[in-house]
Amino acid sequence: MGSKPPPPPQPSVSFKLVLLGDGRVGKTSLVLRYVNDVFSDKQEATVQASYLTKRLVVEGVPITLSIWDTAGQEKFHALGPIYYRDADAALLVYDITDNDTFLRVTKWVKELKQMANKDIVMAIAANKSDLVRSKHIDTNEAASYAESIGATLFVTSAKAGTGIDDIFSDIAKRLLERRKNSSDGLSLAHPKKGILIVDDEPEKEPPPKCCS
Amino acid sequence: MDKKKAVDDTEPGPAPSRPVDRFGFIKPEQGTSPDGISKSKFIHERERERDGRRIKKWRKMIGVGGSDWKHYVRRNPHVVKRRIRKGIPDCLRGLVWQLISGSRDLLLMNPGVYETLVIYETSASELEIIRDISRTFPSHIFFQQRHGPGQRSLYNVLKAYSVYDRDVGYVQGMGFLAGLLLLYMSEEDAFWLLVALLKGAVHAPMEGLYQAGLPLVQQYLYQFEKLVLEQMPQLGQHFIEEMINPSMYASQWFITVFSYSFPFHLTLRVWDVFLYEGIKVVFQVGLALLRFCHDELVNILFALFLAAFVLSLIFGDVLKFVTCCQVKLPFEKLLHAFRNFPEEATDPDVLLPIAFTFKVSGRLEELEKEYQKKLEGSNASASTKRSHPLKLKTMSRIGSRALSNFTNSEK
Repeated sequence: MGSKPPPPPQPSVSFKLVLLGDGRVGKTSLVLRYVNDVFSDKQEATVQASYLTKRLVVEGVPITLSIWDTAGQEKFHALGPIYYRDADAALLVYDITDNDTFLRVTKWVKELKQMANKDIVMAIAANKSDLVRSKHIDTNEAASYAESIGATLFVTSAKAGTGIDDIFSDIAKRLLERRKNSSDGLSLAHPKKGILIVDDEPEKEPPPKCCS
Repeated sequence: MDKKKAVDDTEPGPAPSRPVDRFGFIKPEQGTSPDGISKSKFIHERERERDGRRIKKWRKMIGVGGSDWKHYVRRNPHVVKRRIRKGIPDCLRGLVWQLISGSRDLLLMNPGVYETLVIYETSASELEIIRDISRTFPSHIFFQQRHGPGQRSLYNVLKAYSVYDRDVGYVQGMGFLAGLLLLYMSEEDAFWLLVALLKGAVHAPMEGLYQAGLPLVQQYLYQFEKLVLEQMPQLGQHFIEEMINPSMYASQWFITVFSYSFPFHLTLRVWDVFLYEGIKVVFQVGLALLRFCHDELVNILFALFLAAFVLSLIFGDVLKFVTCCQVKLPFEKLLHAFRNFPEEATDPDVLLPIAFTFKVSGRLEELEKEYQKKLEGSNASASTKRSHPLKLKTMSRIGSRALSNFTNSEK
């Protein structure tokens, strides 16, 4: 925090991303597909937020996404704000076959506008596209809504593995852009981290000196 | 009796396509035993003999259908406590759980109530319940079949409870409690055990776990965080610096009493003690898990420290070492450690003895008072007033309240 000595330049930029959406829309499955490339139709209901990380490279910049997967049921909001209060990005998920879950997304957006970072990057995943038989998936309403709030919309299927890399790398790109535009530049690392020890080799060699 | 599943019961009906473990969970592809320990035949043999002796003792203790139980408990409470801590034999578990939780008495005092709740009542939570049915113990054969007997019982119990207590309704997590119970008893028995727990037949009521705002979860997490700081100051301090809040790792321990994504054989042993001694065992087991974590983390920290030191020697820049010395385990590592406890930690006969070394009863009470004061100070409207366990006399009222709920909502 404030009292700590300033952290040295990071080998990678880290961002915090939170997944939000109604119960059983596929939040956990999306994350697990993205991070571990697995899918299970025997996924247990999420009772407690869980945390995963994913490293990726966008435009030559190594990025670490810290992903918080949350429980969908409304009552769990009581334990919720810590997950999205300082999130850099929110991935809002709904079930493409269930309109109520889309309404829940709009509720979440309202809450985020009040509670979260003002410049939080938002994306909407219209999930479970594998359940839609017809080739033309109607996402007009969702797309125009997404546009109106400055979010991007992606049609995804955690089961088929489609659209998922796209949505996460879109988020990462926009996060990076946002950070470049902000005055602090890339050095604006997560304030809560001390020295980050990266055990996996990051994709790019970090600068040889860790402290100067 | 009414057990759905005992050790040697082979369930009739659709044969599972994949092998299941002794609790009925489908084995993961790589056939590691659910106990995390693969045992030789010889040990199996000896264990079976020992189990046989234990079952005999237990049968004597509870009598036919539980008739001698109360008498025995009154005369030998310490023997009972000790034996329960060693684990209730699986074939008697369902019955003993009902005896020690007080649910058997509730059932006897409220004949017909459960049926009424299931058949005649509608619940606002129905859709939410349905949504989670197939996501509760999805890898257990009893709950696997879509609309099969397991899923139907689970739905009925949860729906009945959501009618019975409309303040609580249905909250994710309750399904795991109900599911666990249904593996050991009938629907109606499982329902009353849920009532006994949440309304407090023997111990303090736990309905606050599921009420709006999850007030009791918040209180437990507050108590737990303080206990960690007191029992393992180094680790506790580390959590604070890394901004790791117990809700990030411990809320599911409390919300589901370790029945959610936890090794099942360990869940059962925790529940044996939990039903008899109350919620404090959840704190104790949580602390024991952290103790494992703590030792591991201290080791990692030491290794990192050494590595940083060696590097500084190589690069000949001691200053660099000094500034780098604030080596900290990143957040990610810590949270990872919570999901991957060392294997020995999943052996109940290792974990539970460690858990029982934490003496927390007195401190828990003090911390509860402290928390209530804090709440009053911040004039939070949601309060978790300590409600004392129901006396037997008031128990029958639980049933009549259920019925009056029912008639009220008819209007």
